[in-house]
Amino acid sequence: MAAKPRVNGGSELVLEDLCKTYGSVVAVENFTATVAAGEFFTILGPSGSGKTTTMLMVAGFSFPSKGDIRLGGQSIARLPPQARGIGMVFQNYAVFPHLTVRKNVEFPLRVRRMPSREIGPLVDEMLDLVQLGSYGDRMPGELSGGQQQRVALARALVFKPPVLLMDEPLGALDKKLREHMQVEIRRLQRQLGLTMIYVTHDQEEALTMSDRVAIMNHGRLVQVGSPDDLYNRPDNRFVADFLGESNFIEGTVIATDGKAVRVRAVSEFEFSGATSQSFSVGARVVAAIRPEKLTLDRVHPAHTNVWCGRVSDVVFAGAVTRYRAEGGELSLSATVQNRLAIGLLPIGAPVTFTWSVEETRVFGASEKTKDG
Amino acid sequence: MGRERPATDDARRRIHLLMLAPAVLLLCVFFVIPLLGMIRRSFVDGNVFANYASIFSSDVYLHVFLLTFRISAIVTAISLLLGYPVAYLLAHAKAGIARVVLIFVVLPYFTSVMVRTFAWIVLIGREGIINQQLAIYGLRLPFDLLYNEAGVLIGMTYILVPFMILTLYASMRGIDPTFTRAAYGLGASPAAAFLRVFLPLSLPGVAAGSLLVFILALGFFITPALMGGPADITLAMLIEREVEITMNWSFAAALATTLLIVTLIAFAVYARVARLGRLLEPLS
Amino acid sequence: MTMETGQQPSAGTWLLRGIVALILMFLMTPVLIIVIISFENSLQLRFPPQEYSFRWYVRFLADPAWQRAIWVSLQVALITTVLATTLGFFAALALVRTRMRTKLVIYGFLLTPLIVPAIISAIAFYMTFAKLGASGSVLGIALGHTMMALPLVVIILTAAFRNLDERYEWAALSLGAGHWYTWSRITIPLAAPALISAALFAFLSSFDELLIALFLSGIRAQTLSVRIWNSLTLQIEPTIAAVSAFFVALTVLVLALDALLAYRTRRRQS
Repeated sequence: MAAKPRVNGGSELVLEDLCKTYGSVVAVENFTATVAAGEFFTILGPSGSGKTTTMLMVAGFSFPSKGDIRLGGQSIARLPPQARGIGMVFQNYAVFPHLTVRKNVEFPLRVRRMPSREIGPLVDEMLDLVQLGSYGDRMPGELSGGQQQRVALARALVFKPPVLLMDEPLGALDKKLREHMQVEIRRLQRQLGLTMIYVTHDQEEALTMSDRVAIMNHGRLVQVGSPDDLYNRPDNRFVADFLGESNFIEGTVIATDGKAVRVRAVSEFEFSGATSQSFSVGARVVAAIRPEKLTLDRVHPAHTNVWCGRVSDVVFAGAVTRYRAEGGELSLSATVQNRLAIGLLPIGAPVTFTWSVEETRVFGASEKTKDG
Repeated sequence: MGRERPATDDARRRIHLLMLAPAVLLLCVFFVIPLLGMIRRSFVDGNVFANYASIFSSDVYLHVFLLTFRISAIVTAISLLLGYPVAYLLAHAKAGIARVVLIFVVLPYFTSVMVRTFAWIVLIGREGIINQQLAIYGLRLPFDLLYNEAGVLIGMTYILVPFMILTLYASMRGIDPTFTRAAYGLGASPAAAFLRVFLPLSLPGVAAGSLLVFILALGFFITPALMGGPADITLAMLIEREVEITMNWSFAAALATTLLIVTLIAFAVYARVARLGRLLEPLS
Repeated sequence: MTMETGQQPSAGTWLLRGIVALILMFLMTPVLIIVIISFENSLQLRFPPQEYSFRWYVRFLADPAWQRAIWVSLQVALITTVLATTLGFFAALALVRTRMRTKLVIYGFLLTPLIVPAIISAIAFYMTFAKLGASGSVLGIALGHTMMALPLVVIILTAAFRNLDERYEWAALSLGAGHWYTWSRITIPLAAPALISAALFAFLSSFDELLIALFLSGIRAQTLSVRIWNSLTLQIEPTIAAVSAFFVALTVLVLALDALLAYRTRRRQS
């Protein structure tokens, strides 16, 4: 009944046009992605974005209304969870409270009727891998949250699944432990060559651990790419706003030139930005510039966008200082490293922000935002 | 944050239906169908409602109905009187004391009805234990308490008081203590706080409990049969007599159907008053 | 009335406590008296007993007719327990885990035996099945008792399953276990206290039941309850006191076991 355990490495997982509707409510719409073998793929989004529903469809606890899921070439979308052979770690670990750690980890192997003499070494190897080697005979009730987490991980990996799903596994842990586990999980995944699908709402987690991230909002896949792609080249307002912070400037295109566009905003302020879309003159657009890309002077020859204003707020934050400035009906914030001993600019002082064209991302103004 | 639960997809639904099927089928075969059969049996070929006509036109049977109703009403009233103080104390007691008090209620509750009835027979008979004890002082119970209506009332009350206590307790636990506290804060004496605040708030629970006990009392067989006199025949006893002795199954079925209808109506009222939707809460 | 006000308990409180104490004595005394007088040696049922002996217990347990009755009651109760608990297990689990919109209707349906007066259920069952051979049949009586016990089991188990996180079952499925494997290795062990509790009360309800057993009794299939009933309607003899004490002991046993299970569950959770 259960899929045969693989020897090593992961498989490719194709999600094709997945849709899920409950009556009139659309939970997931047209989710398409191909996760390469051995890739760490994260689905990131706020609550209600449909990321959990998508994961449940991959796991088999929810059947897609439309679309297909293919594992290593074979369609699994109609198979029940126990026939898919996909490992899974749940949000609350779901470690069986009435079995010892060892018996928990043995569980999937016993289900597959593996002989006892083969089970022992495999379980030992897995417990060592998650650094719980001497905890075999403990009961889950005696373990901390982090340790139970590792038991769940060991249990899900012991039968060498081609794909591992993790559903917000680190939410209940404190910061230090979370960071430690992030490193651990990433290390394990690389070591075993696992195909990993990781679901979270924590963008920092997504950016630090993943090979690629798929951002979801309101059931739709908004953008897929590497963390660098998503952070530095967001395709739309939601991504620019969800990951980190952005300044947004609305305006109209007055000139285009292949990859770059010239935009006029309020008070005749003009600037140039980069874009992956094509716009015609007169199109309404929004530009996003990250605060850390703004500098206070024209030191960089590449910083051809210039804007003047007056300082309205100053926040000294140790390594950086955050300035807010107003001018010409615009309000921009810059995060500047405290490298030079120039001191803090006082409120009211005139200030110039400069930034490069490449770091100005421009997209259509009709894009949906986080709230709407 | 709502965790998205999977909808009932076909495969899951099929499994769940299969799991429910045995219990539902068994209930249909061994409960519903016999009931329907019984109702059908109450109708006579030729003159469908003949039995019912006999019941409602005859003095004898109407007397039985009235007796049953009267006894049930009295028993309900006495149970309420006895049960309310106990439930009140339970609702306000600390956990340890409540547990002890509950033992006194729950042990009789789960003891066989027959055993409990037998205990009263032993106690209040002419040569029963109470008279034995009184005889030591040269006294005697002034009137017979057994094999007459008094006996039936005592016995039935004894069986039903635990029901009343548990139902009232359950509803009293839901009464917010801040109301009474507010009354104290406004200067009310304990008696006034109780009469003006707690008692009115407890009335829905009282109505529900009383209805429940009344419904149960209507169908009583064992206790009236053992403790009543020859004239004390309840509806349930009459039904049994028609089945076992007279062997007039059709008529017995008619009597039973009448009792069933009365019970169902009373239960519908109870369900409203007790807001039984909450009983179904474990599933939502 | 509560001590929260920090005052001394008033006269009213003591009055209430006194009244409640009397009522509680009223509830408990008959049960206690029955147990005590069962140890009376003489033919008269006297309280307090003048001589203590196990005479009536010996008479009860050595009598072949009473022994047969115990055996019949035991068989019926065991069959009832197995049937009601098994059917109830699957029904309750399905009800709690399913998202069907009809689940409330089905739940209500399974509880209907609680609404119908016992006398009616008994004669309806009798009228339908007596001719089909249920009369005098242990299985027949057990099937009737199962109907009565099923609602009880379903109520207890739905509450228990609601407290049992569905994710344990999901984890087992994700690890490759099929439904039967999951139910036997995960669901049942984790719900064991509630299952035992439900089984105990199903057993007790069957043992105590009179009406169905009465109508369906035959020479070979008299339950203990029926035998007591026959004795009571014919002539009161002291043996009945011993049998009654036996019933009370059974009730105490069931309640004690249930309390023990509840205590252990509470401890394991903290």
